[in-house]
Amino acid sequence: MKWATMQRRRLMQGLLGSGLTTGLTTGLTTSLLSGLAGCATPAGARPKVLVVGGGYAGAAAAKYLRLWSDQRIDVTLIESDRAFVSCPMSNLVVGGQRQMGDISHSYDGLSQRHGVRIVQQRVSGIDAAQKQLTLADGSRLRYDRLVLAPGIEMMWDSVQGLQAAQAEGRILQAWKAGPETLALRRQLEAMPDGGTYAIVIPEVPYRCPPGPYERACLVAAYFQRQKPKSKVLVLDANPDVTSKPALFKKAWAELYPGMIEYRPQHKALAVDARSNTVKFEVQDDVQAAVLNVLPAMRAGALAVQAGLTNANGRWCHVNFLNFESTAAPGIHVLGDAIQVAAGMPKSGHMANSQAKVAAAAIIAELQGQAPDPQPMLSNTCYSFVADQQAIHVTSVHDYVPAQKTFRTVPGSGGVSEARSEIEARHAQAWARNIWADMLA
Amino acid sequence: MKLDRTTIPNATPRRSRPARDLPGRTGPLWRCVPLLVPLLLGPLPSPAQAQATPATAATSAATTSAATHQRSLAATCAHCHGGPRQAAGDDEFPRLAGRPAAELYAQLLAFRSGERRATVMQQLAKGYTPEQLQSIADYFAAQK
Repeated sequence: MKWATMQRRRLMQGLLGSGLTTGLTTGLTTSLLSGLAGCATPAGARPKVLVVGGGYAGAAAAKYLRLWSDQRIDVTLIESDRAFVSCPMSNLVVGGQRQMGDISHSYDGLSQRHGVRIVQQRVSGIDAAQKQLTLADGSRLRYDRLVLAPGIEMMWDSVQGLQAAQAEGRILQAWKAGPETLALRRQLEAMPDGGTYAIVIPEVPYRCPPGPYERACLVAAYFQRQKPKSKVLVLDANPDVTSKPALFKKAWAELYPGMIEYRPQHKALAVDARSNTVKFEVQDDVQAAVLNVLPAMRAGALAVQAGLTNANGRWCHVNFLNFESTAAPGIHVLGDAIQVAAGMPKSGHMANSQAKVAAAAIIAELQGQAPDPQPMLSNTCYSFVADQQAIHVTSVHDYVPAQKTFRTVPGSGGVSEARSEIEARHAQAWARNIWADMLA
Repeated sequence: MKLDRTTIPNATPRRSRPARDLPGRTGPLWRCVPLLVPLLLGPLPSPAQAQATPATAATSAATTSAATHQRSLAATCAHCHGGPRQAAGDDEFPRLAGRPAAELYAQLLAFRSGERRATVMQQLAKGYTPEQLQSIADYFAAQK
């Protein structure tokens, strides 16, 4: 077939080009390239990329690795959950405005349309030296490149008693969308009118900076409809609202007067599940009918186990040109797990942006080429402040070679002029489109 | 819920806007589009691909690299406006693929200068140089 011939020629040229122009053709690269270039090569010799974690970063990485390599890379997505459940929009489930089905999606599109192999399992170990993963069932998978998108894990030790309270189902986080999202919703439904819901926010950095403030709004919207004598307390370890502060405070004052109370500099130290009380470093204890306590967070457990959390023991330093871990060659880390550049939020949109940069870089490198030296990232985060009103923050980031990091492009980005119904529709459209971009 | 055509509305008919100042395919940017198209669009067989000039290996790598950069630039729009081989397009966000480059570029420049205001686009467009916006417009125009 003529097309195949052309593809082969192009890839061969890539191979030759890499040798001529970069001299980076290592033995490994050569073997990968022969896999990429040879039409007659058995499928088993094609480069193998394993992606662990099927969230905003991992699913997008899996799709774009297939799409942009013309299906010439074997991609396996390893995800312990059967379906994708979106954190963005999950506060609408907490507030009762949406159902779990609205934020849950199958991985079928990735397998059926893009040929991604889906393995529903946990990873039990990574052998970086042997380039192998071990799955929970004991089977092993070899890789040429490993993409880890492990999300976050809670640092339970940061709030004494919280892990036990969570295990008993008494004090929840619901910061990974799934069964806990619904469990928190049930707690709110069971709360009598006149009760208090308190959300406790850790110091930055944590997943989804505006998320807690959005949740406060949507819970308050529910209370207004169903339990008007109830209160929402926002107890923040930070000195001020960490995202879109003016817009959130205006919404609280104008839409929920007397219902939402914001208290900065409330760093939680311990919880007592029997009395539903939080103890703080400095401030007085707070008791609430429904406590939603977010502890400090760090990169997902797998990144920690693999020794990739070389930023403060919490996050993973990466090379921003290809998102390869600075701790382990051949392992790329994406999404909320990384040590971010200045102004780079831990958001689903940003994770998707990172995944595309990493996918392009991995494909280039597997062909013996250097990654794009000028990658760019974009971000838009919508937050609902009422059932039908939302606000946003946007930013654009470019790579600065001299500093080897991303910066926010000066003059770019910003927040809403005012909350609006248009932005609520845009938020819904954003979700539909980005879910399609990563899964369909 | 399965993510399919029932949950992701297919491309809705767009308002057709008058194409202003459609360039003839003579400028340098237009000249490079046919060469870039096969590399950008992934596996879609294209007659242009078969006619690609056999270049030296180094030139090929450079072309691939430029095409990859353009594709990646455009991918920063795909979250909302749809990616390759994807029937994106939504009541809220217009589908960009296949629209005339001149029209797209004019809109992007208007957002960048602040002449046209929306909710997010006048903020996002300021993150790109006019050359980058032209490259993005060319990319989407070349898509089907």
